[in-house]
Amino acid sequence: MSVRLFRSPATVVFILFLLGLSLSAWNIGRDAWLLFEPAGHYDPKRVLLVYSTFPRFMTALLVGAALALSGVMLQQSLRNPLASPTTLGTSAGANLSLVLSLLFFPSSQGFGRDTIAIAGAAVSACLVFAIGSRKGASPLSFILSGLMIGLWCSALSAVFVLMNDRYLSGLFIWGAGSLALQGWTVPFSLLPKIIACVVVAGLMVRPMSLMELGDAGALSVGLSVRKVRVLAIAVAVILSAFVTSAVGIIGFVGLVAPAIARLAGARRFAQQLVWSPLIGAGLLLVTDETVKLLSAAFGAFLPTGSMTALFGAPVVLMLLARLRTESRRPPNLGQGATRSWHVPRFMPALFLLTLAIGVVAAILIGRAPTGQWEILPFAEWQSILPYRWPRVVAALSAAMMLGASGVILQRLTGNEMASPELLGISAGATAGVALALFTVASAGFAVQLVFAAFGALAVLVMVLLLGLRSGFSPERVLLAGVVLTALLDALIGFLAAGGDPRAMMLIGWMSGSTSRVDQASALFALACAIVFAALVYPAGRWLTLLPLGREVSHAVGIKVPVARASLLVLSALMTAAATLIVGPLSFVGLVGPHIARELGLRGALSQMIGGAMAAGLLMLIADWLGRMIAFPYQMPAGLMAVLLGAPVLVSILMKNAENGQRRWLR
Amino acid sequence: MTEDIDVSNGFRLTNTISFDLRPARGGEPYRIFIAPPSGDMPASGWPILYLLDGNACFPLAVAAHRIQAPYPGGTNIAQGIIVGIGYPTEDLFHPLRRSWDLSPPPGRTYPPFETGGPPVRTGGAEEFLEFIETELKPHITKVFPVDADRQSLFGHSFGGLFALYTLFSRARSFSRYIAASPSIFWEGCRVLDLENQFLANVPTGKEVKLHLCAGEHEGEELAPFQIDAEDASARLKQKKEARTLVHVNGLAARLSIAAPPGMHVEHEIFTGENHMSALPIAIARAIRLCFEWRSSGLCLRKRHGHIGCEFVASP
Repeated sequence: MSVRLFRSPATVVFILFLLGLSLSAWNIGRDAWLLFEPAGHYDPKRVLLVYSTFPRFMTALLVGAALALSGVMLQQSLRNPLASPTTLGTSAGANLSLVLSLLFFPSSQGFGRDTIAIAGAAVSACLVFAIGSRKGASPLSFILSGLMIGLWCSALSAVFVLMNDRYLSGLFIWGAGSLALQGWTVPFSLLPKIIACVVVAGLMVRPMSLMELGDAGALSVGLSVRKVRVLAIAVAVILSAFVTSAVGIIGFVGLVAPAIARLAGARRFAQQLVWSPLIGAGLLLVTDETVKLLSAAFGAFLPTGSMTALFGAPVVLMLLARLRTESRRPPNLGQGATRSWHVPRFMPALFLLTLAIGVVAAILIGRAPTGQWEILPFAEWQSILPYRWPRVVAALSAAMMLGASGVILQRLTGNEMASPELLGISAGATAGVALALFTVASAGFAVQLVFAAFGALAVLVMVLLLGLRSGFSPERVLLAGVVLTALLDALIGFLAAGGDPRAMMLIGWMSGSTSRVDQASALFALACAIVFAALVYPAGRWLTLLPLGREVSHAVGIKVPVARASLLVLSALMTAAATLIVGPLSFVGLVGPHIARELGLRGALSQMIGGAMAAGLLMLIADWLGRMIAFPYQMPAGLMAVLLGAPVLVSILMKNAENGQRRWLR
Repeated sequence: MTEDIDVSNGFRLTNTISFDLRPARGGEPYRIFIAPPSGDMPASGWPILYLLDGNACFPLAVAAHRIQAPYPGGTNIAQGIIVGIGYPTEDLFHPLRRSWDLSPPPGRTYPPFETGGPPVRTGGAEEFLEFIETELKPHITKVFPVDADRQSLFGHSFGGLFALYTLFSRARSFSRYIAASPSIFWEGCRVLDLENQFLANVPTGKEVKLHLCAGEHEGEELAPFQIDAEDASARLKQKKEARTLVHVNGLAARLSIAAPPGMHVEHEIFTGENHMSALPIAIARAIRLCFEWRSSGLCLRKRHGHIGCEFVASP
């Protein structure tokens, strides 16, 4: 297959549909003739064909197109190639509402799953809009509020799932997106809703295309950026809410179909708007037909949503490897108003002091076996402290590494959604652990650690190899990481949906727990943190200058690929070390840099130090709360960090918005 | 389709950065504006131009530089770095702070600009220069590779006074100085005392260039459009006090005769220009002097010891 032929969106669509239709032909196969026979008596095969196979076929096409459309609208209006329908938290909100209703108001199930899900999606979408459009309605404010609300909802759901795993395992199936249907209700009810959204999207082609100029540029040609953005996001959110409530969470299509369209050469927005839904439909069709084929062959249940990644990911990786030019402009500098914001001189000292007090408090304050609150008496130090200090030290060191890694990635990519887990390192480590759990009999902590290290390393090498051709263009590396993460997540979701008890162990590990940390690994974490801190320090100049773009970096004598590769490796190593210790939930690595920035730490090094400290402090409190809140049971620190950190960041965002400082428009 | 004019966003110069830098000694921060360089880095680093009153001068200088630098063969202007030193304000000038920062010590205290405002103090130039030398410059060279031998300082009015103060008290801080319409008369021509000191113990060895300029209408006479104005007498009184043109011409003549070897003086009077309109023209000269692509050393050397006659319009 010639490269040029492959890299046209029409060809991609053609191949996907050819593949999908031949697969469905294979699946329906000999049953198709039944349609042309007069319906004489009860025929289960015929019933299955008319009321399950065809509706499912139609639904796959509709859902794929709708999600892709939602994705392309979001990516354009938020000017972020990583935005997807799951970015704005609607699916997570739907999921949470289902969890809550199942657990606390079982009777509400009478309203139907769709109604409850769409109510949850609506509530979370309203919250995102309330926070995101408060001031300026900038992409960053939407993305951040969406991410925070989404993550918060997922974390809360995860906590409930962990506490009540027996009742909720059915939710994994929904959460992993299944197209198994009975009847035509779903496609028929989706069709008019989707058509309405398509019409609105079609009307917005011109104003949306202008948004490529950036906020200032779009304004200068007379576009009301704010109105267009809010409308586009609303269309996208409504689309994804409809789909989510009907068939569950199928997130990857929305992320990847526009990416494939772009990589295949659809440069203008109008082209992307046409090709992405077609690619999405084809992609989901291929996936679903394959799922049917495999389910029939193995007799196992396979959720389509998580399987999407298995097909989408290779396509993206293949296109990524062939692409050399940079298509996205470097982050647009000089947008927005000059800010007036001064960091108090005592800020670093304050941070340090808080951290020190936090460490001492986290070690000494706790609950006695009776559940009474107490400051650990001196007499018990010798017996209790060896259990407490390793957790505190490990949590702190790991979180600080994640925070620093997050600052590096966010500054390097100019993408506020970049976080250590997006590099794929965490997913690699998780896959390693999964492999250990499912292949090695009674895999202990040490075995898991070795497997996790290998998994992380394998992904790192893969990401770097994929980045090599593009000169380590951060955009590319991040996209490769995202895709690898989705691929591995699909595998994990597939394992979890199977109902295997080992899946619960995996989910426990994924929630980020420090409970298994011993003294040796705590010291290892501390040593890593110190070594990496020493390595990060001299990189400050790179981090200051690289975001100014390739041209400026070149002009000041930085070898861009070398600098990027070193920073990526450094960030990956820190993520890997942290993941090995506290699990893959690197939320603090996402939120730490944002907290530091919102507190006014804007220089590369000061944001690095502030971000690491904020992440460390957050993890410290989360770990302590996780140990105390449900005493004597323990909640994973990673989940607690999300439940705690998301509201903190949101409140800082809102406070800054109220101050009237338009710093979201960076 | 008619669209409302959205007035919620301002315009900002692309590919520039700005941040606030607080002096280590404490006190109010300065707003620093930087236009980073582009192109292949010269082995010796980039030439750099520092602008006083950055809020006003930076956008002018960046725009003027950017339209010339891509065509060095035609313009003789090379790429480089422009740094504006301003104040955290949206106004073009900060009268109160520049009065302190830009005027030579010992200075005095004047009544407030507005009733109830803070008194206006002068004489902080030494402190400001110290800040530039020991804090701002290292802050910039830490990140950007700067050619230490091609650092220029531009100032207009009080800023021009500061440029002269810097030249006379620490000539080695910069290699090129552009003093546009300098307020030499300020506080009894205090800065000229330093001129004598400067000439008395002349720094030798390093090449220093000075561009002195002023508008034609900065002399002791009113500009034609001011003659019939109702405030003509007040203006005339002020002009007879400032006598910028006289001072600039005098200084240029003295320096051209007494200047040490290695020092070049350019002197230019802008025809038809006044105190404020001289500013953008002087910025163009600053860019020519600072970012000179091919050295025109020969003709400068020929000019050494004379007033740059070819520039001088009829006084």
